[in-house]
Amino acid sequence: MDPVPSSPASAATAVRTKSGHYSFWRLLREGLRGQRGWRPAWVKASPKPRYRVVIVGGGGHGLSTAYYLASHFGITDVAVVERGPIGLGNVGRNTTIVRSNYFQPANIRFYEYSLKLWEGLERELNFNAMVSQRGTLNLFHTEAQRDLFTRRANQMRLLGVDAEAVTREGVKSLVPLIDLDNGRYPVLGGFLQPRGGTVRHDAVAWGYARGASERGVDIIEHCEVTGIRHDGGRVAGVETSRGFLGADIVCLAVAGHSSRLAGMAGLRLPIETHVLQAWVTESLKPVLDVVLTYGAGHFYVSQSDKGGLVFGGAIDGYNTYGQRGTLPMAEEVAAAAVTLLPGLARVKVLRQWGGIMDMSMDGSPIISKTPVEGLILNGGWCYGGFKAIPAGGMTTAYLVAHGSPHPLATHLDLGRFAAGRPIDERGIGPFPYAH
Amino acid sequence: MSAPERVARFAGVLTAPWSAEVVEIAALRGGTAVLARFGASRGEALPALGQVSLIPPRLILSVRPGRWLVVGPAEAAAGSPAARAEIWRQGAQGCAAVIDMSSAYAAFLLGGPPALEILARGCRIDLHPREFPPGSAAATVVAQVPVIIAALPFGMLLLTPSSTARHFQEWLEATAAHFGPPARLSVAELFSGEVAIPAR
Amino acid sequence: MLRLPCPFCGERDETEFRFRGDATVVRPGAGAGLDEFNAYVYERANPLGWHTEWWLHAAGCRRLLKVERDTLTHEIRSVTAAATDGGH
Ligand SMILES: Cc1cc2nc3c(=O)[nH]c(=O)nc-3n(C[C@H](O)[C@H](O)[C@H](O)COP(=O)(O)OP(=O)(O)OC[C@H]3O[C@@H](n4cnc5c(N)ncnc54)[C@H](O)[C@@H]3O)c2cc1C
Ligand SMILES: [Zn+2]
Repeated sequence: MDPVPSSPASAATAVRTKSGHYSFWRLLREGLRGQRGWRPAWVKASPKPRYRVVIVGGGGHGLSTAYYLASHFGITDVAVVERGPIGLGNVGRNTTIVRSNYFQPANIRFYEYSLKLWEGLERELNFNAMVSQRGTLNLFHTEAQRDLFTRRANQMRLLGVDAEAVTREGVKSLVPLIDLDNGRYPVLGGFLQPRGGTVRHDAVAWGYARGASERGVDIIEHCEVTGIRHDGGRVAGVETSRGFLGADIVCLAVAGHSSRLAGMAGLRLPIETHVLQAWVTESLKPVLDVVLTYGAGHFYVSQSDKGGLVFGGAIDGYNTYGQRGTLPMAEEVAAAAVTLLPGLARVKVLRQWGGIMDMSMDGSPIISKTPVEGLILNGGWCYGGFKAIPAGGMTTAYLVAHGSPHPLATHLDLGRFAAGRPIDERGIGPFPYAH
Repeated sequence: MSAPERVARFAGVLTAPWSAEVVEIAALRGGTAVLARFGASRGEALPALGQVSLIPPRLILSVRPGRWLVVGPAEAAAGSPAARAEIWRQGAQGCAAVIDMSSAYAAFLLGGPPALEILARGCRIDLHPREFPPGSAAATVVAQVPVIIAALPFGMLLLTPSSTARHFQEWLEATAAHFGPPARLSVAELFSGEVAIPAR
Repeated sequence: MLRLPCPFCGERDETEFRFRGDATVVRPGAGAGLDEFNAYVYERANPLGWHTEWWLHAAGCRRLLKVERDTLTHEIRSVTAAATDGGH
């Protein structure tokens, strides 16, 4: 299967305010003219009374949905409504890891589709998103864990996705800083997805916003949705802090706020909101050129292009809408970090932050129609929704345009819970704590 | 040096894990009154939640509602813990589960001026005598493992599950070492009643 | 760091507790249909603001507690024992 869609239908769509093509020559020219020729990458639009499609949430999924609607499905009468400035939600707070090393075949196909879209994204958007396929290395520490990873890797390879087993020595040569015999859980080896890596998160929001805006999408910032108008089981539009916006279709892409927005339409979702924290250290010389995940504790890390070590762990563990996080998880993550990479014990942490996650009850996302006609949900991303932004946007746009799910996202329907077929990505049952 | 003198000058971990005898009495619903009467009749009044009472050579503490631990030195006379458990079981008249937990817990005693500071390095609750005067008891976490703390006139009794005992002892000794060489005292001496240890 | 005032042990750090989720969902009767069971097992109000939830004081008294907490400010309004008979 080749899930990559045909090339953009951009020629068909009107292109308004141009921020101009970005290129080396443009950089050179602007450098010589005192940088006076740059124009804003997207237009700060004001709301119109009515749109064909209103997308709530100017994060990665809202913006990519808008972009693909305009570029691939020819639907440009679209507004993205964001309560703050775009890109300050989870899309600008995550640890930027992209990969497709999932376990369930349907998930592997979906995330692999996303990875393929990442691979062509910068060219498609003419925007430097710093896609860096440095490889993601998952460590295992027990034989049972190795069996599990082997099974997952085999599953991936059967579907044509890259996965490689790495020996202990291989791990050491990929990550010289590692203490293979650390404490209770010595490293037995790892699994590498060479095509996994990182992407500059803000650039993703900006690049999609620019692409959507240029094709006629209204990106309306500082406009909070306060109500969803619906009658006779059909959506009519959204109430906002800047007035009512009528719409044929309303698409929710509000991550941690999914339950609140769905609640405005009278729905209860299989989702809880939890905080996930991340940290970044002072800049170091290059010490780590893969994305590394510890298999025996809550810790994963990569080195940013600026040199900071970007790392994180698990969610704090109780419902919260506070985008901050508390200290016990910081302690746990730091302990795991020092166990695995003791040489980093004295590196200073510069910043800490948190983002609020839409933790679904089976750990997999929801891209689906809802019981309210015309209301579409893109959510339940847990803490893995960054990597899914291209595929999430494309499949959501497909659902909006065709009224039926994209073939790669049929398993992500909301009805799966009541139907007794939740996605068993980790096999742990209905807890909103998985990713 | 006499035992009281040694205790007064003591500045660290007092004993190796003390092989204590621990009997748990867990009231069934509505059973507290029967237990209280029986305890009182034996001169072993059951303390309120969060308290410890010293009835040499044993002590009784409560850190869970409706549950008490009777703790004493294993070398004390008066038979085995099983026998003592049996006494309570009879007295409870079916109103409580009485279990010999001696092999489930390890006990440590910590006394001397730096005791509080040693514990503060691994314990998140406030053990200052203003908040936790002698006679107080609590279940909490110390050095990342579960520990029951009871404030006694001569120091702190610390109970941790046997499986975490070795870690806890290592932590205790390593932490106490910052405060000078520990003096050791046998628990038998401590509980002999001969030791009138000054309050902190 | 949350500090939960346990009615049995006093105020303790969150590290002594285990979060056990929404305390308002009620198991439907045996004759209930799929929708009710779906709602019970999966669907949550997930409010921004006051949330009634279970916390187990795992490293203290080991009692299950019912806590009212604001999910934005983390203010705690009430903590009571789950067992109405006091637990013993
Ligand atoms: C610390 C951290 C690390 C992470 N690491 C990774 C990772 O390494 N890899 C990975 O794949 N994923 C990761 N994630 C998860 C990923 O960031 C999210 O799953 C994903 O970004 C969510 O989709 P989004 O970008 O559309 O969300 P967001 O960017 O949060 O967008 C939602 C938007 O909706 C807006 N909104 C909310 N309510 C309203 C309203 N009423 N009206 C209007 N607008 C509203 C918000 O302001 C927000 O801008 C991480 C997340 C965090 C917090
Ligand atoms: Zn308690």
